[in-house]
Amino acid sequence: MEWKETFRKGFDKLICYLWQCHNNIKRWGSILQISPKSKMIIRSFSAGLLFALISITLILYVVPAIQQAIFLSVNKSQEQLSEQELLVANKKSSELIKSLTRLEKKLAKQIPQSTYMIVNISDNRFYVYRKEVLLRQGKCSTGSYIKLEYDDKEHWVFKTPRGEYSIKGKTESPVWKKPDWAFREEGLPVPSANDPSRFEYGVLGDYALSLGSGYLIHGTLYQRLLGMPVTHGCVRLNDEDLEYVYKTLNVGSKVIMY
Amino acid sequence: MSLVSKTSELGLKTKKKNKLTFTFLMLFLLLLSIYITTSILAPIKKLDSLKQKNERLSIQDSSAYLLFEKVPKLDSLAKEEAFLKSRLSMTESDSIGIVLDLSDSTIRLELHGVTIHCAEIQKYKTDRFFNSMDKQSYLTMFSAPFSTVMQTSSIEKEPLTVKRAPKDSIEAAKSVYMPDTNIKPSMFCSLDLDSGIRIYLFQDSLSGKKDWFEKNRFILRDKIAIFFNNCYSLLHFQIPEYKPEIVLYLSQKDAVAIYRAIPANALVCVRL
Repeated sequence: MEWKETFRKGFDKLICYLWQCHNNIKRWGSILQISPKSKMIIRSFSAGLLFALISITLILYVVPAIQQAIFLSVNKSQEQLSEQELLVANKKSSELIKSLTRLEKKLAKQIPQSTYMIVNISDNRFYVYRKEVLLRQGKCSTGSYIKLEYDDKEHWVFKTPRGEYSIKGKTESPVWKKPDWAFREEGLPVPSANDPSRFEYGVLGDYALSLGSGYLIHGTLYQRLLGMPVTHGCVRLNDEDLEYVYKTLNVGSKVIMY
Repeated sequence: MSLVSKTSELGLKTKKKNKLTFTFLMLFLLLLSIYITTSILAPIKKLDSLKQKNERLSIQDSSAYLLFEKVPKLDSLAKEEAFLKSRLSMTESDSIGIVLDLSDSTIRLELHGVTIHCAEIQKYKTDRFFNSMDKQSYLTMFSAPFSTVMQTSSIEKEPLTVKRAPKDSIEAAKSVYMPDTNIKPSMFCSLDLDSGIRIYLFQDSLSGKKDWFEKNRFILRDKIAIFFNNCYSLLHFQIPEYKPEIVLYLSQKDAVAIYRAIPANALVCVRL
């Protein structure tokens, strides 16, 4: 009966504390010379506040708990199986196992047989797989999610698109043809379409793999920024990874970016 | 005489005030009890409506389901079959989908059957509603992927930073952008599925007061939204819709990657 004693002591303490509070409020009331009308308002306000708090707690926290408690009352009885039921169960079990094997085979067929690449945009990492075997992984850089605005008319969003793509083409020693945004970003006037200032050599690394719509997997001069979202939408790799990816992925290989 | 009339007037006023307070209080208590009763009835109604709906859609005869109730091994095989069927039908979609497998505590992102991201669930909590579902409802419901109808989160889907193009090369040199990789946003999100299930993705560790505040703000906001939805249903003399919940705790990195990768109406396969 130890808990009863502890409970009684605790209850006594609580009553004492509440009595003290009551006396203190009374004392402060007489010190501050609060009028009976103000006292009435304070009392009503406190009662209202307490009532509102209890109601909110009841609605937001107690009701969901009661909803959960309802499901406790649902009991499921485990019955013994009759002989016939046992036979049916065995038959059903073998049917289910067959169906599972068939479904697993169908799912396994979905996995690409050739090499494919996965790019995690949130984490700036890439993975190269063949079937379900991880061949290589490492850091990369993806889109910076910057929206560059110019003159309220033009704007560009530098993000790497998510979804499934494929390698459309492969280039060695690629040359970068600078688009308009590259000039706007540097505060320079935009030259004509084939102006020599648009062509830059060596900035994309030794190789480039095209994903279509102007997006590339390429190298970078800024190796220390790998692992950070700093590009204009392309995927940047370091020199060794780029060489590996270039030699492993073929035209048509899948690249999944998420 | 005037003093007597004044006193009686004051007494009348107080009586009237007390009566008004009492009426208001009774009305409030009545509404509260209606709210509580209908909220308690909501999960029972949901179970019944699911049972009725799935009886019509059922893929097997009801005796087979009774057998699943009795034999746990058959039950787990049937659940596995439902899960694989659901994953297989998700492969037909061209968008990234979620595969939630609570039996091995993993959450995966899949596209055309290829697992593109796999994260370990540190901790999870499922609604007791799922244990109370009959086998027929469970297997019919979980043998097809669910579609996401609403996503709410404490972070943006696309964290865009707007930048004005510099006027000249001097200004451009001054405004070189460098992302701050130390910023880790508090990640709490909820996915509402078409079947009425709500999945919460919470980061597992709270690194400071900011995370704690953000988590509680998210939960409270959600609870208030549920309250208003329930009130709306009551105003239309309907029993509110009950949404069974699955709460998942995973690392902040994984939660962010999953939330940002999925499209607005992402498909979700679930195995409990």
